[in-house]
Amino acid sequence: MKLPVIANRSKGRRHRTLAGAILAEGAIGLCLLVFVWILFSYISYMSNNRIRANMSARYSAWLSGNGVSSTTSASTDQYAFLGDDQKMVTFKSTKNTLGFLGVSVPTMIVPNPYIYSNSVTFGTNSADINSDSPFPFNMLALNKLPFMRVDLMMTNFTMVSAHCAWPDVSDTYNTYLPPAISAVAALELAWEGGIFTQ
Amino acid sequence: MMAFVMAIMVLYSLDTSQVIYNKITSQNAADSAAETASLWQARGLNVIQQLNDFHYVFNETLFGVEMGELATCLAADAAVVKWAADVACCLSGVGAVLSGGSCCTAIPGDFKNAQSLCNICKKALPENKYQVSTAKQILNTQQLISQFWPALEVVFASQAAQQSGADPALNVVPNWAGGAIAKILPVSLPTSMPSLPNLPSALTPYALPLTSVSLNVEKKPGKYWPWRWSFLGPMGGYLDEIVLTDVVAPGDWIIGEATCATVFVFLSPQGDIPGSAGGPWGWKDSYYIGHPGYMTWVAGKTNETELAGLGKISWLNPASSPPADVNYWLGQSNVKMFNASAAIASSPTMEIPAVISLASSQVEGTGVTAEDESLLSELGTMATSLGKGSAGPLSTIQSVLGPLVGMVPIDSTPHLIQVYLPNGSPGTSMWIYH
Repeated sequence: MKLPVIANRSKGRRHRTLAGAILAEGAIGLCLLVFVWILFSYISYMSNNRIRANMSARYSAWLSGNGVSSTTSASTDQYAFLGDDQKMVTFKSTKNTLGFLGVSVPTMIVPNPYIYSNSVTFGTNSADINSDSPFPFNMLALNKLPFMRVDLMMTNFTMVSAHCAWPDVSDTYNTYLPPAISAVAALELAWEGGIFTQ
Repeated sequence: MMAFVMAIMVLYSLDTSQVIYNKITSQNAADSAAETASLWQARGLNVIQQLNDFHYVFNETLFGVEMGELATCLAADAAVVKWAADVACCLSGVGAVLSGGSCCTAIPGDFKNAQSLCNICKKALPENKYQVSTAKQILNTQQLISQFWPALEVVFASQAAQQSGADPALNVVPNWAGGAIAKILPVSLPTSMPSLPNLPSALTPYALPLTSVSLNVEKKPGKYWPWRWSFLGPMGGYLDEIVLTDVVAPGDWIIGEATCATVFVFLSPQGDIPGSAGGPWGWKDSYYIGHPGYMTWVAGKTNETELAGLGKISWLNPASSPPADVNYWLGQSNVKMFNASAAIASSPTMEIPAVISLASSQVEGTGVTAEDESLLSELGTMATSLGKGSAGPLSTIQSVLGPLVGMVPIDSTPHLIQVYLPNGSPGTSMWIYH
């Protein structure tokens, strides 16, 4: 029996609608998986960067504390960041004075009461991004939605930083007495030396 | 569903990453604290050793000067006798005639000569007193340093840990211990120490020593030069010291005093007898010796709320309640997937645990000593028993010094070593080699 034309058309339309729904749900699921995969890749990458930055900060602080100049310490990032990654490393070394009860120890009393606080920042910001950047997330740093405030842009979202501090172990007071002790000793010797004037 | 589970795994990987990061940070802080403490320990030892060397050189110098002056006493005695003879010769008339008047003309010159020699002779006693009192002051300074220096170690090690990212140690340690014990025993421990009243924030410790931070130096008498005024030591019966101190030096002084004081009133009104005020001639001195052992320091990070609050989801952690911020921002206190029951609010929650790290350090080098073979041996034994480093100082001491008489090298340096627990057994904490 030959069905009416209208009946054939409606049956075909129902089949097409179900297939589309399956396709749409599959596409959504796939997108979610891809999104999660991208998220996972990003987190793994950033976690790894953070740990590398931490190790690098420690090594550079240790070098600074052992008398290696800050410029040389910066070049040691090659041990934590390989290849082109080194171009995205920013190194900063700060020479702090140790304090006691909130007061910095004067160098006239205790020489070299220094501690080097080194920080290592790794990653790109919007100023560093160029068209041939190998990082897939960099583009987000440039995205600015309509009416979006500039300070809400994800400018530094691929950057990580770490810091570590190390004392100035290169000076162990093995060639001189601290001025405070020298002054007391000199005064004492002079005082005792007054015996000669008796 | 798969995407949701993967998303949760992603967030958990964030937590894992945070734990790793915290562990590395705490290890960096512990290492920095341990080396800082060791640095200040080495500085303290070097300062004390420099004072030892100064003390040693001072004794040697004064020894030479005193000997010269006491010898001058004999010359002064002869000069006085000659002057007296000239005077007698001149006054007798006969002598003056026989000498052609030369004994009379020699009187002023001999008088001046005797006076100048007596003036040199008379300095021997004040210098002996100067030597004794200066040695006493040096020893007092060394005692002050040995008592005060450990405080510098603790304060500066704490600051190094703080600047390396550690959290306050009085929170970290009980926090970590409470978490670890709660996983084994059904008890809950306080997660932080009670705050100490009036403790300045600058004194908040960020790293704690598990072992002694003492410089471990002490004042000791020795048996040989320069501890005693003897090169021969007990094996030689201190013969050189007895001869010099008890016979030659007092004899010189008595002779000088007998002659010079007869003519010139030059001695100080008190203490003109060695032993009454200035101590005996020469010395039986003390020096500081010692070598500190290893130190072990602990620093860490406190526990943290889990990233994204996953531990608050009831079907991941049935014994938890939602944090206040989740309630506020999401209004989820009525959502069944979050368990807000007050009855289980005190149950342990899933969290990023507290982590602690240990680091050990020690001073390597000669330590604090002076030239006394018996004490060098004692120091070597001390350093070997207390130290844990591979390069102990004993071999250095024996190879460099041996029987030589010279100043001790000022070479104490700080070193990180493998982690040792307070009982001296090796630990298993992560150790980052430089």
